[in-house]
This record gives sequence, structure tokens and C-alpha cells, in this order.
Amino acid sequence: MSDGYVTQRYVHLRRAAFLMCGDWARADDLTRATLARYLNEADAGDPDLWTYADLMAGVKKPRGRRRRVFVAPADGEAGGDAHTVLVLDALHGLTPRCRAVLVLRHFCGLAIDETAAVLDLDDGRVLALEAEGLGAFASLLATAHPAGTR
Amino acid sequence: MSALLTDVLQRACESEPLPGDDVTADIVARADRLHRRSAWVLVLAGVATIVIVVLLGYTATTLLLPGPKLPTTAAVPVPQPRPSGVLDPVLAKLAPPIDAKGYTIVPPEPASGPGWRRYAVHDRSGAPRGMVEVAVFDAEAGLCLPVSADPSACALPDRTAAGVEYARYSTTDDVDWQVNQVIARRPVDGRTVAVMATGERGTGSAAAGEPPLTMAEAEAVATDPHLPDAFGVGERCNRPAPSCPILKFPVRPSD
Repeated sequence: MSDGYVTQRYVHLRRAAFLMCGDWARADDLTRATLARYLNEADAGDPDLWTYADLMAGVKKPRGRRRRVFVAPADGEAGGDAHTVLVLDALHGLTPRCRAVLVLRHFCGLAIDETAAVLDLDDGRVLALEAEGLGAFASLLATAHPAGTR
Repeated sequence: MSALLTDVLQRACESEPLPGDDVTADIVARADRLHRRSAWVLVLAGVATIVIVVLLGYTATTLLLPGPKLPTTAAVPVPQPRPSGVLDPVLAKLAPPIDAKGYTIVPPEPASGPGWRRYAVHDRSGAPRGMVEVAVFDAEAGLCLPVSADPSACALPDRTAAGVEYARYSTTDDVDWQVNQVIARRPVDGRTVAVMATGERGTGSAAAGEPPLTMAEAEAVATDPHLPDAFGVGERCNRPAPSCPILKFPVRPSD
């Protein structure tokens, strides 16, 4: 539990949170809150797994009635990235668990059992969700269009 | 598909805005606030737990444990001064001469038993003035009224207009033990009462040790034909009656 770990993990965790919620500001807030809780956690075990689990739990908490609203950053060039909007749109077409499995497995690089531990699922369920998510994601990517073009 | 998906996800994050200044310091500050909040929550939870335990304990104690016993109206165990005339029927007969002197009846412990009553008397200043004891006997076959000079002899009784036979006894030789006693028998049924007024003992003074009832007052009380009725049916101090008061001049019903 050190400031060095916080500095080292902040960027990656913020990106994972962004893929989960689609809002950089919220992703930033969730990441800082998770790392602050991690600094107060006396018995975190594996720090990476603990922070992933806390982050995923934080993302799951409802925030009003807004759904699938992607907030582009203030930067005009980045905000106009159609690829980002397309991917987020496809991700949010999945169930939250499918989305979490895909992000943890394919963005964070966690193994099946680690993903299962983070999401409190068994390995078989993770495999099923991953297969389901990959299929749906591929289909969505193939058919989706960037927001504002449909 | 896996590598392709990873690449797609990484590319989606390329539009990432720059993190704010001093991210680490902000996270550490958040951690400190969380820590303080947790400590406060812990303290408040402890206080709340203590309050709940105390309230539960108080409630359980109040509901489950018996409260103080209320005195029953049947018993008069408290030795408090009280007006003489509102007591039992025996005292109702005894009270007028006591009240007339401004004295007060204070029931001592034990104050009564089957066939007898005992009343302590205090004067206006609260000083003890001795006691009056009243006992009832059954003497259908007659009575041997004691003679001080001859324990084996029987005295002849006086007789009231109502037909009550009685004898009066007084001893004032010893200033520390002065007694006025009257034994009276109702011939119609043999019910006999003895009224013994004993002055406060050990005063060393004839005046201070004077009995609370004069001989005339004791005679008036004892010869009241209704005094035996103030006792309950079956109440009697005929021998053996270990709890009855020991009279200076004992009553001896004839066999």
C-alpha cells in the first residue's frame, strides 16, 4: 500500500473504468475513489485483483437514470474519435457482466480464474460470459455505426 | 479475436484526456478523509451500541423485575402517629380518653394478635407515655378475680348498671412501673376483657411514669358492654396463649 502503486496503476485503472462506464470524468472519479479505498485497506491480498474488484463494484452502482450516454473529452480532436464511440456503443450493448468479463480478460489481461475471483463468479460462468460477449461484441461491431451517423 | 479485441479496446482509450495535476496527492487526501470518516463511524457505532445496550437493559429491568410492593390496606405495619379514633374497633372504644388528653396512639410491633391489642401512647411533644393493652377472654363458667394479697383467693366483683362485672387494680408504689388495670366480664356470654394501662417505665418520676389512662378512664373503657364485640368471633387469650400480653393482674377463668 504505497503511493508508488497508486501512481503506477492510476492510468490503467482509469482506462478500464472508462471502458466500463464510457465517461472519462466518471472513470477518473471512480479510479481515485478505488485507489483511496485501497490505501485504507489493511488486508487487500493481491492489490491488482482487489482494485479491479473494487472498481467493477463501483461501476455497477447506478447513477440516476442516464444510460449509454458517452461523454467525449474536452479535447476536440480526441472527442471526435469515431472509433471510440463505436467501441463504447458496442460494449454497452452487452450486459454489464459480459462487458466486465471482456474488459478484464482482454484489456486488463486477467486469467479466467482471476476474472472469476474479481467478479465473484465461477470459472465456467466466466467462460460462458466471455463466449457470449465475444460473439455479441463482434456482431455489434459489425453492424454498429458511430453515434450520430444513424 | 482476442488480440484483435485487445487492440480495439486499447485504441478506444487513445482519446484519453490528460490526468489532472497531483493525482497521487489527491488520492492520498481522499484516503485520509476516508480514514477519518471510518474512525468517526467506528466511534459513533460504539456509542450507539452502548446507548442501545443501556436502553435495553433499563427496559428489561423495568419490565421483568418486580417493583416495590404496595402496602395492602389490610395491614397497618407502619409505626406512624395517627389519629386515635380511626383505627380498629377496639381502639374506637379506647380513643376518646386518649384523644381528650391530646395524646397520640402509635402502634408498636407487634401491635395485635388473636385476642389482644397493644397501643403505645405518646404525648403532645412526642414523648412516650406508656402503653395500653387490651385482651379478651372466654369465661362462660365464671371468673376468679385475683386478689393481690392472696394469689389463691378470688375477689368479689363490682357491677355496672348494665350488669357488667368488674374489678379494678392499681399499683403506683413503683414509680417506674405504674399500672391501672380493669378486668370486666359480660355475664350474658362470659366474654371478659382486661384493660391494662402501663405508664412509661424507667422514668424515675411518678408524673412521667403515670399510666396513660386513669383508673376511671380504664374502668369506663373496660366496662363498655360492647367492647368484647370489638374483637372478632373466636379471638381469645385463654391459656395457652403465648403471644398474648402478660397482665400485671392475670385473668383466671373458672374451670
